[in-house]
Amino acid sequence: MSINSLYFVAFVAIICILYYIFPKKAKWAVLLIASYIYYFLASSKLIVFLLLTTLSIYLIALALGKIDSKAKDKCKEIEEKELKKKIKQRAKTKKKWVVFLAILINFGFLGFLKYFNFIAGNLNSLLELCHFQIEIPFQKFILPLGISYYTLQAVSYVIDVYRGKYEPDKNIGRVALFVSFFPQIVEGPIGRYEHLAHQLYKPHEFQYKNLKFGAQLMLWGYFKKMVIADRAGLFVNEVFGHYANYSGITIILAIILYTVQIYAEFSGCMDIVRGTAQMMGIEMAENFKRPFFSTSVQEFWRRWHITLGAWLKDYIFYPISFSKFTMHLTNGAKKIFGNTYLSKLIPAAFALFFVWLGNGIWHGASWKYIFYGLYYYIIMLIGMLLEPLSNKILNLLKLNTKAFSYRLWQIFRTTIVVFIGMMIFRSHRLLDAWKMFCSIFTFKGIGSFFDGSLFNIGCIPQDFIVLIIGVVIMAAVGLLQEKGYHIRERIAKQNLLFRWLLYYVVIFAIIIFGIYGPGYAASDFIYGQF
Amino acid sequence: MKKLATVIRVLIFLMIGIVIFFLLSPIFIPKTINEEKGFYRAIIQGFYTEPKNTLDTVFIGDSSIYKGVSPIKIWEDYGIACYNYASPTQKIWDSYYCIKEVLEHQKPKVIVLNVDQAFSEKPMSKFYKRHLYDNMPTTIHKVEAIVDKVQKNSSEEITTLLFPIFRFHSRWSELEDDDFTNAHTKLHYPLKGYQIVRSIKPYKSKKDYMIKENKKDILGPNAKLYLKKIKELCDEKQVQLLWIETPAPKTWNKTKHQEMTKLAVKYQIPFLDLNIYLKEIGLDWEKDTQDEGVHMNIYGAEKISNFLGKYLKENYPISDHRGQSMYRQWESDLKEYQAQKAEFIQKKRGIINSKK
Repeated sequence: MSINSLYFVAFVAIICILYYIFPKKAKWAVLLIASYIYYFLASSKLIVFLLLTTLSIYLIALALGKIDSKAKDKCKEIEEKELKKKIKQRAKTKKKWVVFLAILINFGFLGFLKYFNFIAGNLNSLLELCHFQIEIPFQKFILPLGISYYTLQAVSYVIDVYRGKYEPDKNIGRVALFVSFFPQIVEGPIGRYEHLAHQLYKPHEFQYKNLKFGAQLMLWGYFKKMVIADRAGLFVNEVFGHYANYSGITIILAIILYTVQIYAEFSGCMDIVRGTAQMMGIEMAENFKRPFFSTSVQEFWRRWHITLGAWLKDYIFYPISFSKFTMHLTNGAKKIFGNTYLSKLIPAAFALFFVWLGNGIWHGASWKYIFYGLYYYIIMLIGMLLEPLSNKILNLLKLNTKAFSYRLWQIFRTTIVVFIGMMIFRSHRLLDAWKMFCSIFTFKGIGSFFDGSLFNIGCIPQDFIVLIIGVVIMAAVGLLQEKGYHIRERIAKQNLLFRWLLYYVVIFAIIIFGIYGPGYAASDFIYGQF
Repeated sequence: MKKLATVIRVLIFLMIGIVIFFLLSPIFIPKTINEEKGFYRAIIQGFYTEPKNTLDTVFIGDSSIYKGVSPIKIWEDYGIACYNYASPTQKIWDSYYCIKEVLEHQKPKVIVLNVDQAFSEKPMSKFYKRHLYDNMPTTIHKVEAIVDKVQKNSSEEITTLLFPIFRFHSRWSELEDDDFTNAHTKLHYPLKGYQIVRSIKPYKSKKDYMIKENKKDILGPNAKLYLKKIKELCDEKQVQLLWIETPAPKTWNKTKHQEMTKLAVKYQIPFLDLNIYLKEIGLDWEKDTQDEGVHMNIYGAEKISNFLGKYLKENYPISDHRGQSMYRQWESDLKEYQAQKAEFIQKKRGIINSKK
């Protein structure tokens, strides 16, 4: 049951009705049963991995709580400070091992199923290079639906309990629902326990506004996914699939359209997910905040896939930054470079390396994805290294960095960096990305822009018209949101006739101009593969 | 009170949406009617332009019917008002739902069912299902037919057959004036469900195919079940049922004839196997077949129609409607048929003109 199918819409409608019909105490159970039905329909036997993850984090969190409370009880009985310290230290070590077990189990599933063949392939190459006659056989694993997402979410819960951010949840139903909530299981957003679990468990009264706003958000998501993203995909698939046949302007257009595709698709999916949840009164975390208005790569990643960035920051960047090794590194850097910009940069660069490596690895089991993560790392590092120099130049030239034109330049610069990143991301292999990049500069096929043949690649010229209109609408909505307009609130203030007309136009635009059904190849969500 | 108002508002919104949906949907269904793409739309939709309860006989079946029986020829010769509600490779269960649909609009004296497909248990191909069901109005019978398990329709097929816009929405860029003007208008089909075939490809074999036996040719459970259901339906609606088999040397044989005869005797249904009346019909395999005996051409169809018309006249209480004011349209349809036939024979025309 794909999220962009009629069955999903019908499923959501049924669950919504049941949610509001059922008594307050049973509402969360409706969501939990619906989530497990949804997951079972999509993954059948693989549901066992979801169950194991849920059970492991539930039990381990309880164990962490027990260790803590035992230590506290013991400390109460003891007067001696030194002994108290020892008990606390022992409890801390115990907790460390227990949380490590949770991480091992859950990342073990993910790592084994997702990365086994990648690791085996690389080891085989290495063994061959060393003339060893051993070969690790490849395995045919089917990845459980959304494992990359729910694993991060589940692990964050255990780590937060370990850190003492909140008490372990004794209600397994609440933990299970937090991990499996059906709208978010495929592509996130990667929710946090303290924000999501209680919202899911708490009964929400029917509110027309929630239903209306949720449905609007879903519609907007479907429009972005089915009318814009999948249409752009027609051109993108053809060019990226046969890039050797194209060059110059065609490759540039394919990269731009892929960026449009992935943004419209991923953010569209998030709108559908958030809209579904909102219909039942649940507010989910935002994953996108108009990333193409970013003036730097750092800002882009604060606006793009926000929940992944936040997870990496909280569970990779901070632990590494505050680790003993990084502390030593900071002290060492200070000794060598003094209290300079560089000495502050070195520990940050060290911690960031793991963030971006993690980002790359999370996206997929391929060197391409690792390079994709490190590409942004290098770009950021260069930016950080050159910051003092660029500040000096700006001062020397007396450029007004607050002017709109300068901001526009920054946005343009960031977008170009993102385009190149997207090219790496979409290419089959790194080598293909490099070849595509080089072919941009051949400037061949410029005539295809003028004779119209460019607009017949993978789709027809009429598709481009729809695509342009769609992108303009999407950009206009983004601009208004960036300026602080609450579009849905504004629409709500309009007359009924206008509102309904708008809804019908969007609904029928999706039905008519959407890319779906036997006329087109089925198009899954790109981010659903991770 | 506020909740009730909300529910009413949502329901009104949904209802308007559904109305728009069903108004838009027919625009996207392909409407081409020509020799290459077929006359299926004209055949099915034309049926609905016939005034209520004016038909004496409705022929149901596959291409053997719409290529082998010319109702307007029967009209010309005997004044009997017939129509072919037929579609390519129409299976017995499809015929059952077609008869249900027909009986909602007409009260014919006889339903004539061609049993050619009774020996097939396979559902129609997706392509042929579309030819029948896309051109049928959305009625309970159509819904029943589509969701019937015997069709082995996937959930996607069910969705797109019930709501063709989900299948044909990609035609938005190729819509023509015709798609809008003919979206909600049923086209009158002067040929009454018949498709003129002009080509000749003789059936050369000199062997008598009616002595051929094939033990594999047995009636399957689904065909049997729906043949029974058709009989029960006709009994319930007090309409006489006649089984026929049009001449088909390539597909018909003695075993099939005996199987059908056995069942016809059991159900007390008259079975007219035209394969054993070839001499009486005057069929000439050198000239009367389109494709070596699989289908009839115009020459063969006219001979069969004349034979069937005579049979109907002699065996059923059907009066001659020629000259009756209610059937004035049939006279002009006959003229149109004659004109088209002449043009077709001279290979001047490839597209049948349908009148609104």
